[in-house]
Amino acid sequence: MPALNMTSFQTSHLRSLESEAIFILREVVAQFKNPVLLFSGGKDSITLFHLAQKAFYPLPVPFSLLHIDTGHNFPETLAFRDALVEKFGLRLIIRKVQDTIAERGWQEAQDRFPSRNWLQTFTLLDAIREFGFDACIGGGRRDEERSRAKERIFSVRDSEGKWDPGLQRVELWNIFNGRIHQGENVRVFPISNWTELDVWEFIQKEKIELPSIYFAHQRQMILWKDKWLAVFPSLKIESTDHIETLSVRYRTVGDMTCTSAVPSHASNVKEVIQELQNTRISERGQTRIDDQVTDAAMEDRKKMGYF
Amino acid sequence: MEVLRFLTAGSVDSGKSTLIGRLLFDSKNIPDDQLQELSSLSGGQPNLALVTDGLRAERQQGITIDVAYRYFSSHKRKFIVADAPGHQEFTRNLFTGASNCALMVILIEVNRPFTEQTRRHCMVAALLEIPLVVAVNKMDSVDYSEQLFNELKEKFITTMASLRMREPEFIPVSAVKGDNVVERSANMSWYKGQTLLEFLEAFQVRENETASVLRLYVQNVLSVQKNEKAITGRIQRGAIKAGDLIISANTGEKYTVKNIFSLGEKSEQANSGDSVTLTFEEDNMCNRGELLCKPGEGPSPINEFIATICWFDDSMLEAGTQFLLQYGTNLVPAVVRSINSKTDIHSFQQIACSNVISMNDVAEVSITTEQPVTLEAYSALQQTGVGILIDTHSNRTVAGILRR
Repeated sequence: MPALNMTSFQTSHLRSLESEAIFILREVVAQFKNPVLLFSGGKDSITLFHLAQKAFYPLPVPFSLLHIDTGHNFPETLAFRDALVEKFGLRLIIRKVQDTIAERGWQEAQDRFPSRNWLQTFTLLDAIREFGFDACIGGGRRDEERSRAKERIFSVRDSEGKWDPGLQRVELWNIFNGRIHQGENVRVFPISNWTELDVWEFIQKEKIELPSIYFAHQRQMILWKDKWLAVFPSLKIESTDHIETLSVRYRTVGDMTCTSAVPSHASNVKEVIQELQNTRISERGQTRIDDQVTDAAMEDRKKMGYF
Repeated sequence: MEVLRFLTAGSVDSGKSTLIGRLLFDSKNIPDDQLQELSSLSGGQPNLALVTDGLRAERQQGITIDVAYRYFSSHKRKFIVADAPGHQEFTRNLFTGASNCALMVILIEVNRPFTEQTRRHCMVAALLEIPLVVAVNKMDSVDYSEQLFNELKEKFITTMASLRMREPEFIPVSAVKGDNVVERSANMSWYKGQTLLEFLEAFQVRENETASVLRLYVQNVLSVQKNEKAITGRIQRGAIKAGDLIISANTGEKYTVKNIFSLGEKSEQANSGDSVTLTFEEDNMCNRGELLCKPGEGPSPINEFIATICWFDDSMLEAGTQFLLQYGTNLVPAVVRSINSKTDIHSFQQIACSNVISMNDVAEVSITTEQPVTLEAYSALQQTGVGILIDTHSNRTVAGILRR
């Protein structure tokens, strides 16, 4: 992407995005009885948490965190999550996809690189019902993916969690209509208008800590199609596999089993930003192997009730 | 330069999706993996028209149903483009996109009569007081004729005259060939103006003369300590300094600003656009929804006002219907007392409507509210002159209103 080089501009741009996100978070707390922040341990949800701290300062963040745990996490992410919870004395709710699978007696497909992305939806909807959450705050961004580019900031879901893109509410100016019927809920996306680069520039400005996998590190990898995947414990190594140790970093944090890494030597935030300014490949295109199944994989998941 | 948020609107088949695709492609803002996908979806050359079509139904039907947002930058500026649908039935989505934009790019086809959709796009721009730029597309199909371009320009100005908008810029383009989108056209040496991208880069967002007037809607009241409360809100316009005397337009109560926390940090001053937390010297506190101003500068609360309404629901709006009016951070029961007239899409004149309007109509209505409201005239202060009507049964947003 063409690089802009305007420091003062960048500061005012970030201020405006930040103020918008804080305004949205405050509307959530004013309009809903039982909101929750969806927390994956990735950079976007960490950014959201940081914004929530600012929004209600000097009071603590007035909602819990919910982690839908696929069981395929990077250990570094879980350790980071737990340290954050400890540091700020947060209430963290964890609901596991593994439990959903066991309760319903499902058989998982025996893919080589299994994705539990679809299954997360069920665990999420169960958790929403269990706790009666009326608003789920998520770190989705419109620049990530084409169906996300279409979504409202307050995205109303029916009693089954479904998104109907043809029936989205009109959303005018900065007036967010959070009125819903019993059983419905709203997914709220305060950083809708942020790009990947905006998130990183904010992380730099605010000196926000991130899990170590976002920075270059040595890891055992195999090349699958054109993607680098980490050698994870349950992976069956095939004779054609060529295990290489190389310097990589992750652009997104998803399931260890289906999120690919980027060969990189960017070891700090500044270097990551430089790398992103020069890349010709999108965030999801480079890192998610499960979004490339069809041209509407995300849209289909969202219609089912995904984040 | 600040980020430019602009909207693109065009009639069906005017080539709008291709224009955005061209803009992003020629300014090198389409990642390689997405280009590859666009090529594979169309079987060969990247189909630039597919760049902003986000939903499966949109790709299948070749139409835009809902607004898509794209984020891109040139060497000079960052942009957020809201790509809006052209179809009349999706006007509410056009409105959604337009409500947060500083500029509207309307795409029309050279050598074609104006469609009702183009009239509607202009009407929405006029209503929201958004400046226009007109991209005259498919110039390649008329041998880049200067004469046809000039004729169309004259016709456009005459047709839209009664909307009393600032005269728009006109740019002759070919989205398919790339003329005057990012690259200057070699085929139209008679055109001396800017390319579309140059225009967007240089466009100055108009500052209202009343920019210094303070407006802040209270969002939350926080109990910071036992006897200390704070309020939160986003400064819609103006600035606040510690020690300032401010007043609630709703109650007339006065407050002296003690501490300002701007974006979570203690500050001496906060400016327009900042999300802040304020504490006051006084013990009493205001409530969510109140509008904070400087003394003598605030609006007087009213129970009854005239508004322009854009009706979005499938059902008819009849006079006498009760709604919830949401404006700023307020929610107030309100009744549309009468529908005085509606705008005729062909003449742009006010015509009689016997107290009933249907989807996508723009009308002048009288509204009364259960409690006094602090809405201001939109033409004077846009951010505090708008609201939405919510259907009390479905909870859907059924109308946007602008106080006259």
